[in-house]
Amino acid sequence: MERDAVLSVRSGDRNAFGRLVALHQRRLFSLTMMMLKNAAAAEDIAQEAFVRAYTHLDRYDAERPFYPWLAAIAVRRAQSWMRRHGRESVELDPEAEPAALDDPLEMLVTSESGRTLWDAVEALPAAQRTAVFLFYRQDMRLADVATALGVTGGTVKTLLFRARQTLRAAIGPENQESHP
Amino acid sequence: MICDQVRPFIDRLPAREWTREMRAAITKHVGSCTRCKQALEAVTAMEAEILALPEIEAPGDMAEAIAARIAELPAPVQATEPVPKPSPFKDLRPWAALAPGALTAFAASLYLAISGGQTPELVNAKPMGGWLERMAEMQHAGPGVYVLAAGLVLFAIGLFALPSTDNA
Repeated sequence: MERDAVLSVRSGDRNAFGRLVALHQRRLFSLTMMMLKNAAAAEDIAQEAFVRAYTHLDRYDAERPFYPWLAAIAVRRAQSWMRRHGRESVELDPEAEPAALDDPLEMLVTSESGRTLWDAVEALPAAQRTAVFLFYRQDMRLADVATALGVTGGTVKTLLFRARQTLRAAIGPENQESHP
Repeated sequence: MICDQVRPFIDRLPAREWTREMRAAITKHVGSCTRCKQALEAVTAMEAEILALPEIEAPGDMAEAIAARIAELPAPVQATEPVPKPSPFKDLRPWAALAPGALTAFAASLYLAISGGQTPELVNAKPMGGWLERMAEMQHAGPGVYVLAAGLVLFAIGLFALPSTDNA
């Protein structure tokens, strides 16, 4: 279905792009919202990503899944937005402190453990947070996460490892015991 | 496998990235090691919790806004074929341009060298060993001369066809 939509758009049927938007808008908006924590900016960046995907559709390899390509565009736009607005960079910076921002997503998390985990995810440096979100929530392959972030697969593994350490410590200190 | 071998995989590598062999070894080990089993369960539970976090809806008018923006744009460039992957022989292409000319010139030179042995008196009597005169006067060398010339021309064309290294 996705591939058919892409081929239809390439054949001149611009309405077919609406199918791609319907398929991926929620997922993409969740990503930009998680990165930017600003609803207006998240919507703007998600729209930008879709429009850019449309105008550069000739560069997309229709044999591969569409979403990782779209997400990579969105991540780069979001990184630019953060740089322009002086927020933390998604580029690899293990020492970067998380920004204290509004959190409309938190309202959706109702369970106690979920809220604790979400708070911990939010507190991660942006690069780790984005890697965790793309890998675990958006089910992207390690290589695709690396492409989206503009880093190597090894760097993504490191980001995920550090994030998992932090999250485990946050949701269950008993999990941090050292092994003899 | 012992704990020190298994634990790094549990701690450092997401379960989705484990190979079949890794998974088999870890599963076998945690069957007999309570502490590694607990560590694995903790990681698995955390990953499951991340997955269970809610996903938010996109704004209701986002799709319409995107459609409106796209309606103002020209149709995307048509490309029904997948984007070709870079050839592993890409770096060899410039030299492939030179190869036909060089090979032809070499073959012609070889032919001339062999044929030239029939007129040895000219070699020492003329400048440059009489090479040009020999080529012009040798009856048997006629086709070889033309092939050599063609090879040199091909080689020269290949030289001009070499792409600039600035674009590499």
